[in-house]
Amino acid sequence: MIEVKNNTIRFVFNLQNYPMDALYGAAYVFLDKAYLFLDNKSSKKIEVSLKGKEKLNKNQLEDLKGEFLNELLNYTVRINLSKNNKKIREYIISQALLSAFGNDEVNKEDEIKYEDDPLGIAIPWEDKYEKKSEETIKGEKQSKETA
Amino acid sequence: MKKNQKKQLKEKSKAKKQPEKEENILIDFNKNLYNLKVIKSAIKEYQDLADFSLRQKRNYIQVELSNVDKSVRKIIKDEFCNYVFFLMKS
Repeated sequence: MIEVKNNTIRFVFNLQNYPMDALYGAAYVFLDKAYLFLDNKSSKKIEVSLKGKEKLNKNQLEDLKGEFLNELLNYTVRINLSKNNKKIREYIISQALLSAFGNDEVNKEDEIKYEDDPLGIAIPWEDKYEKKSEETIKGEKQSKETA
Repeated sequence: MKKNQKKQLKEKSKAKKQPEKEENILIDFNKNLYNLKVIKSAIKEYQDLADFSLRQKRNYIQVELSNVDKSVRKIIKDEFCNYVFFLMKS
């Protein structure tokens, strides 16, 4: 049933095919585009009234209705997907959190203070390479002399 | 005949001079679709624009708006309904 009157389109659809959250989601998206009002005609039948914020003709109102039903479908798919992926999503998040916290005992054993400097990062460049370069120069001289 | 006509004209002019009474606006929110708490908080936000009264009927929550601010009279009903929806989602 569709009724077009006073810049408003009214239509009824069956909520059995869509979850309630999808209806609220779609309605929320349309708050900027139109004035919305819902009514419950029977147990599972919902009457939606969409009133244009600006003056709209019949075709534009029917387009609005189509967009609303598309958005409803979009939200239905989203909700179904999130239901289906719930377990795997929870598993991934729990794994991520576990690895982020890590095992405290292992961490304590492996804990290295920055003062230890096992990679030699804190040693100045001159100390680390100049000595070597002097030694290599000497070695080169010696090898030339023997040759 | 003339007297009668004059009387009729006087009555018509009187009727025109009387200021039109502004009708109250009624909104029926279905209880299955709208939440009473949300409607109450929407009323709090809109209370500067009109006087609100709440009534509960079987499946409906009836909101009556009176003394509506003239500047918003045309849109207040629709905007109020949209605002209730906005609060429902958030």
